[in-house]
Amino acid sequence: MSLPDAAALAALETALAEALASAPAGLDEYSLIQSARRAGCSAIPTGSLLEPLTLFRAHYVLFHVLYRLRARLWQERRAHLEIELLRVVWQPYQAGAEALAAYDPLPALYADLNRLTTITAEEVNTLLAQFWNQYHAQSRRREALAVLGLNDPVDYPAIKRRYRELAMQHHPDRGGAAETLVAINAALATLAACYR
Amino acid sequence: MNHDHDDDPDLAVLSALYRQAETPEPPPALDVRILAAARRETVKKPRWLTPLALAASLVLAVSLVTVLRQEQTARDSAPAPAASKAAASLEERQSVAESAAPADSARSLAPAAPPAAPMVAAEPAVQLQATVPVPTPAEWLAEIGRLREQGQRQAAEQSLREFRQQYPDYPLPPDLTP
Repeated sequence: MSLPDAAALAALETALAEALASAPAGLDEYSLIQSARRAGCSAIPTGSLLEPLTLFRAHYVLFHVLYRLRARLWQERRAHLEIELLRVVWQPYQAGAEALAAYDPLPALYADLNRLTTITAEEVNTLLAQFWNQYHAQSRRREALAVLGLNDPVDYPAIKRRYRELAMQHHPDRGGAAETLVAINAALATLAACYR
Repeated sequence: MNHDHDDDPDLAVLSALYRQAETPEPPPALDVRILAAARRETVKKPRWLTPLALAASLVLAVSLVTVLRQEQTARDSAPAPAASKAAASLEERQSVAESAAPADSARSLAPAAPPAAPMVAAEPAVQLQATVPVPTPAEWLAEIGRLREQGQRQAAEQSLREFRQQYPDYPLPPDLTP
C-alpha cells in the first residue's frame, strides 16, 4: 500500500469539513468514513471494513486528518472540532480551546502516516483480541458484582465483606440454598481474579 | 471524552473499559479462546503503541471495534445479493472461516444456513471470529491446563465443557479426561 499523497489528504480534509459543518449533532466515525467514500476520497482505502488492514487504515487516516483539520480550524479561528471516541462534532470556535490540545495524547497516536504501511493484520488482530479480553472481563465483573448486590465503584475489601455477609446468610448449615452459595462463591472467585 | 449512551449497554461497557484503561493487566478468568488468542499474539503487539500507554491503545481498539460492528450491521441489513454474488460470497466466507477454528467454520457454514446469512454472530467474541485469531483445539486444551494450574477450577471446567461441545470427538489428554 502506498501512502496517500498531499492532494488526497487535502481532499479528505475538505470532505470531512463539509460533512461535519452540515451535521450540527455530529457524526460518528463510521458515518465519516462512508461520507468520505461517497465523496470519492482516495485517502480512505476501499474494501470491506471487516478486513483488519482496511479497517485500521481507514480509521488511522481518518483521525490523522481530523486532528489536522482541528488544528487548522483553530488556527483560522473558524470552529472547534470536538473529537470524541464515538462522535465528532463541529462547534463554534472558542478562544483558548486549542490550549487543551497540549494535554491530549491522541493526536500523537495518529501523527505518523507511515504506520499505514508498517501495520500488519496480526497487529490489528492483537489489538482487537486484547480489547475483547477486557470487554469480557468487564462484563463478568459486572455480573459477579450483581450476584453480590454490589455496583462499581467498589474495592476488594468491600467485596470480601459483602461476600462474608452473604455466605453466612445463605450457608446451607443456616438454612440457605446450596446453589445460592455456589453462585456467591463463583462471583467471589471471578472478582478475586480481577485483583490478583 | 464524555458520552451519552445510557440506553446502549454495549456502549456502556465500552465506556467503562475506557474509564478503566489504567487497569494494569486483564484479569485471568477470561474467555479462554480470546485469552489464548491474545497470549499467542502478544509478541506481535505493535511496538509503536508501547510508549502511548494502555489508554491510547484502548481508545484505538474501541474505535476499531465500533466501526467493525457498524460495518457488520450494515452488511447484515443489506439486501440479499444475486445468486451468483451469493455463491461468491459464500465461497469467500468459507475461506475466511476455514482460516479460523474448525468449530467456528462449522458454525458459520451450517448446512441450513442460507448463502446470505451473516458471516458472524451477534455475540461479541463470536462476532469477530473472522478477525480475531482463534486458538486451535490443542491451544485451547493447553489454556485449560494452565487455568487448572492457576487454581481457576471453575473457569477451567466451564471452558472444558465449551470445548467438548465444540469438539465432541477431539481426544482429551489423560489429565482432562473425566
